[in-house]
Amino acid sequence: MHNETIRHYKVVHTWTGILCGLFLFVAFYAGALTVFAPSLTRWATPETLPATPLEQVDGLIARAMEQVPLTREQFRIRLDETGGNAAWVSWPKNGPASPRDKVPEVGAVLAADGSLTIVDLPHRELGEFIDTLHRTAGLPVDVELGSMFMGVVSALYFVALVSGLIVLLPSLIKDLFVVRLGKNVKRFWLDAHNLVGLVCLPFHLIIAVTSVVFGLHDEIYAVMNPVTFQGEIRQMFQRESPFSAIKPDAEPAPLQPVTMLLQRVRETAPDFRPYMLEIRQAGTKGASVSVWGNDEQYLAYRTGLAVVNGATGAVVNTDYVPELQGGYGSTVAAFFSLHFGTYGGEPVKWGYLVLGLAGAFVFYSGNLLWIESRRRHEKRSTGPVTQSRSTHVMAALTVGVCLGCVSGVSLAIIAGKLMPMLGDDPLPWQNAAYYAALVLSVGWALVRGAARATVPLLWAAALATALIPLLALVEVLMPQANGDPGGLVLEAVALVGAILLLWMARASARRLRNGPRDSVWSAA
Amino acid sequence: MSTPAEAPAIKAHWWAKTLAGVLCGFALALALATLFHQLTPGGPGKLMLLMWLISPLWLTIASLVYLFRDGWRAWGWLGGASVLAYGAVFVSKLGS
Repeated sequence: MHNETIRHYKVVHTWTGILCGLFLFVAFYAGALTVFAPSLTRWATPETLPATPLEQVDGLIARAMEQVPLTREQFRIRLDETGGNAAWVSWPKNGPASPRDKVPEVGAVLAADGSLTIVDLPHRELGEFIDTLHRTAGLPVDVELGSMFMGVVSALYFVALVSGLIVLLPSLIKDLFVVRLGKNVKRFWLDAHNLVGLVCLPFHLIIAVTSVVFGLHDEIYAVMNPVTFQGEIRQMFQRESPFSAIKPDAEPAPLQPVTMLLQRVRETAPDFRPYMLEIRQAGTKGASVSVWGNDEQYLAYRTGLAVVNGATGAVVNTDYVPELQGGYGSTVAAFFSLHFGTYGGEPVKWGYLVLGLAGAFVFYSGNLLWIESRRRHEKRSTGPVTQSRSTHVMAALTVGVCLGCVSGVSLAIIAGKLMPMLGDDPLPWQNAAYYAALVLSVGWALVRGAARATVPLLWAAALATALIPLLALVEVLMPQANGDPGGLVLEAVALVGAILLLWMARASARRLRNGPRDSVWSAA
Repeated sequence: MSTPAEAPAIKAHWWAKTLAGVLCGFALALALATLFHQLTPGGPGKLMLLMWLISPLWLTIASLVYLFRDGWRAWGWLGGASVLAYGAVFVSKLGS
């Protein structure tokens, strides 16, 4: 490849990288945690509704349908982790809603005398808060708009990946596993940026391509409609819907027992592990049962789905059952699975956590390199130099956004744990905690300058993160709020994170004292 | 410094190349997805798969467009490829 072309690609890499680096840092930091979103939610808001043994669920449902007409429209049966001994019956308080809608839910249990007790379920939001942060990079806009923006950012990110690879190719063999920890600090950061970026490249390419689709799919469909689908996309979607096999039919027909519905699904797909049933129009011939579940042996959608006719028990659609998805479906499912890490179980989830945090490091180090390569060097003849305004601002933003995000996420996790204990909806508190940390950090970094702000901000992030393991003490003191401590895994991870942040604070303080004077990282 | 005569004529042409990559790249990806749609049997998940084909094709073209020596060549090759691809779409539609 010609040198001039490589020089052009260096320009492309620099500008696409600096434009999307900070958004991607937030998306990756929150995304790494999103892998464990359901565990986070369970940790923050343990199940308060007592479980009902599976064989009593049919009686509970029958009673609920008598007393609460709303449940004929829709109700949910969540299954315990063994997939079948105990269950929780609930429904949206104010009428039908998608599982993704954030609406108040009520749950029901049967008392010993057979009467129905209905209770409000707590807001279970921590995982969802982190996921929204991941999808919108925390932009204070509507989720749809934020995801669309991140779709565009992801397209730039893809270009940054390819251009980075092209720039690296000529010296690839020579430089790959060399990390020069010498006098030249920039060389060290460049080596580390290249090594981590290249080792994780397949992961990054997958994430970039899938994120563009997640952000821009509506727009892509809209353009494809007249060209590819002759304007018939709506009809095609209806035909492809897994629910199309069940037509509304108000004629009364009893709902088949839940154990029988699950048995039918097990016969069709032995390895499918259901975790929730959602039943609509129960008691009619048009009853549809969505059986949501997983099978981690396959590259599958974020969650699998089998559709069962509630009146007959017939399994009517298996397009989204991992072991039964067709060729086209499997291909699309692979994209989803590779993005979300929903295959292979726990080890893959931990791997994705590491890959996500490594990604955040690549973006952080990329920003540092942008700043360093614009550095004006002090020469003996010219005396002290001042760095340009743009590098000062970029340095302050990099430190402020990245460390503000780390502090903010930790504080939001704490709010997500504490507020439900006090009976409050945690969402406003999570938002307040996150954005306060972010705005204060960025503001502080801009006012004080990156150099002076870094050490206190690292201390703040370490402190905020160290508060999470302290919550374990609260749980010990308030055992009634402690349902699912999750084996203290989250607390342990947070402790390690806090120690790492402290170590970084010490290293930064050393650099502040001993580093060269002609740098944005110098307090002089 | 090399003289202009022996210097290879690699031009940055940022706007021309970027627009060629983004616009022709998308048009080409759309044509290829449409062609795939017309030449393969239907089946569950196909609608989504077609949409999923667009972004890898589009982004690969948009990121490799700076390999062209100049903006004219970028537009020429990618525009030409798009015209050919839509021609193929038209022919395959006639045939079906």
